[in-house]
Amino acid sequence: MTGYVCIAQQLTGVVKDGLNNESIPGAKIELKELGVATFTDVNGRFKLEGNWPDEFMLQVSAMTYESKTISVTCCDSINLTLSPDPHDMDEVMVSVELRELQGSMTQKTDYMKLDNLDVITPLSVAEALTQIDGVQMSSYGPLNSKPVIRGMQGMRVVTFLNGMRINNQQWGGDHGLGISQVGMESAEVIKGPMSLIYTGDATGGLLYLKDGSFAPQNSYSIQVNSQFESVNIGTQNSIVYRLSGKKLRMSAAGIFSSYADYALPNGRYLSDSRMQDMGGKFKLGYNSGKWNLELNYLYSNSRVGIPGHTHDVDPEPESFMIDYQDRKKSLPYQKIQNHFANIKTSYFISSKHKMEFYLNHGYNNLKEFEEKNFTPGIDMYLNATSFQARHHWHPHNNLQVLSGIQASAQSNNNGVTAEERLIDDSDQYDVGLYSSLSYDFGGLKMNTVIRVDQRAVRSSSFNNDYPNFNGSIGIRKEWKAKSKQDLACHISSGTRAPHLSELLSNGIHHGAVRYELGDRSLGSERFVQLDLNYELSNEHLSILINPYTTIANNYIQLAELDSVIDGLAVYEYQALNRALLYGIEARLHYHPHFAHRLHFEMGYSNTFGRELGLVQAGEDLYFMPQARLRSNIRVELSKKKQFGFASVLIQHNYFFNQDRVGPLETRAEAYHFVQLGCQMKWDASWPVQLSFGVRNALNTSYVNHLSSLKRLGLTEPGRSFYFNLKWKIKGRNKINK
Amino acid sequence: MKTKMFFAAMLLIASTACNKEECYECHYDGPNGEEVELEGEYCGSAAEDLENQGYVVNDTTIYVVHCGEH
Repeated sequence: MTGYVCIAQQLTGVVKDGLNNESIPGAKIELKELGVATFTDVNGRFKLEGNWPDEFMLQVSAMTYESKTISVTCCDSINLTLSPDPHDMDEVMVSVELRELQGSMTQKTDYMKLDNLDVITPLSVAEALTQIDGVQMSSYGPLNSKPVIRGMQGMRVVTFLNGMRINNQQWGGDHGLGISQVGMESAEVIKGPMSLIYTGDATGGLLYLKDGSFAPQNSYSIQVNSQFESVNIGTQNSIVYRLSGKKLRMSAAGIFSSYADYALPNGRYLSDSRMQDMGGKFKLGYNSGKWNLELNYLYSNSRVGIPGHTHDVDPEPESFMIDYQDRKKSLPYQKIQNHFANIKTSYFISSKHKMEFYLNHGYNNLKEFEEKNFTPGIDMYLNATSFQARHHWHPHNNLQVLSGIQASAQSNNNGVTAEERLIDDSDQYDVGLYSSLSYDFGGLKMNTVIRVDQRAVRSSSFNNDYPNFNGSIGIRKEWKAKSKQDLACHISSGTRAPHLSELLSNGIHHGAVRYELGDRSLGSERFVQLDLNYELSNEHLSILINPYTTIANNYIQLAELDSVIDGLAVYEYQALNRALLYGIEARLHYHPHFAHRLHFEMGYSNTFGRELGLVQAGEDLYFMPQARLRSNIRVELSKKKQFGFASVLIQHNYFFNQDRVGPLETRAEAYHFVQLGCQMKWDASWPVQLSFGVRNALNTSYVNHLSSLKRLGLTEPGRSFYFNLKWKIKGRNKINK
Repeated sequence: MKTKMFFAAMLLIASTACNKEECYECHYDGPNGEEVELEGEYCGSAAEDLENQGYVVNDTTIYVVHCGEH
């Protein structure tokens, strides 16, 4: 139970367990729209001070309890109950209410607490996301990877970071996500084209990343994190500093990581699989009265080796293996620099109206060095500036309307010294309008969204416009008895105009080791998805079933041609008239009554894709992921002890054979992948966490179907021991601004 | 004090990661396809000039030079 009063912009209260009325210490009280947070003390009490709008949302969350979000009208006195929820132990929470994403009463998303992945610490954001059923990763080695959602990747998966759309050449098979998880709080995934208030062209899905919250009000924290990985003698070191006053808040982070070539299961090393990355982040928040301002900046500078580089038509895998491990700069490699900056401003007009404004700029430079150290093979500069205005209207509890406009200008230029030009210099202009309406008919919720977009592509030799219209409709009903049942159904469309690379490519792509050809006649591809989601949950069991099917018209894919240029296989972007994608995601979480510390979790996901023909069935689609059965056993050991083992986690993944492959694609073999992790903690005033474990515990020699090294017969890394240390210093501010 | 500690740590990270002038061993492919190593190491702009302009043999033939590990 939470009771609080607000006296002259001071919010105080106490958080209690709804079952036994005991106070809950350590519960997080967060005014999400304002970036203000605090934690309850040992007696479950909290206090926040500030200068806020008349009405705002307050979220209360605590480990093993259901999170609650309530509307606060300052200074109402409200009581609410926090119910125990053992499933909230999970680092991945499937089908939660929209957390960071906004705009729909019917939609549920997969939400992952990245800052809680402490037992088996992932190497990258993309790897972390693979714990979500229906999400796998396309990789060029473990450090260069990006997410694949229901078989879709590249430009079909749109990434947002703190409300800003990230443009960093995601079209390239060898271009990873390029965003470090350091200081990142959460990732939220929408599968398929169901994110129209963000973009109309996320036909595969949307990934929304959010940096960590600020420090609790009037306090500071310094978090130091150090990780070691044995398979590539890799180290990752980071430091995050957070400082919050009454109105002003800031955080800054720095990261440096270095990885040598990784060891293969056969004991040898994969040449040029090394990587080095450094970067920083800065975040500032300020609120006063009806205004709230947030500024985010991210810089990263990476050198990523390009393994498996060859001009031989039929190379032997052994030709890429070496007997020593090195981390020095070595040709060929990519050099990637990113600057992403955005300003988000919220204005609370009244209790029913709110405006949000975003101004974003992103700079990305991608250089690929093949034969020379000082002359890049390709050198591409991408500058993207965008603006967004969004209006929230909440006339009464049953109705919410969200409308907005987005505009962006993007320029893609080639460096003058580059040996090749894969894509001509070109500009792209986008404008989009959308409106979303959600209504609650006494328990039956409905949401509908419409969106119009216009894209213009301009270059010296090519001009075209791509107008698009999309819509979605969703319904959802919940039944609450001893068990909770939740049924949702969505039909939604997404239309993606062809990317510059798909239209204008004509050259060697060194990173992907192939010759790529675009097609200027390509039109927009249109996806229509039907998604059904059923969930049953009670105190001990949670079951989720999520089948879906998608019709894709004018489906663009990179198809291998039976020809060779400069010793490299030729690939061409081609459009299939119509393709069908379908699959299912299912998840079971069992938390037995007799062993409250034990959690069993299983997930299964598959995706199939096939060209639809009028007379006969078409070919299977390229790059469809292997079906996967995922099992986790987790034991929570000493939650209440100050020092000791906190958790043990065993993860087993079974990837099924992939026999349904594209015409010139090879099949993939089934394999097992086992990871073990253990976490120790010391809950001192400056808490310490130590995690250690082993990845690929069975030293399995495996090749994932989505690995870009598969065509060379090169396997993923062998057994790897890891060690992670996290130390947090925290305290109260002397000055309170 | 804590702010100073943080920025000192950031400075340390930045200084350990900052670029120093890099030196390379270089070679060119001779007339019979054999790899000919050039004596010594070439650093910074000298290595860049060598890679961009090539290596001149007998004032007549210019060979393409490759520096560093491949």
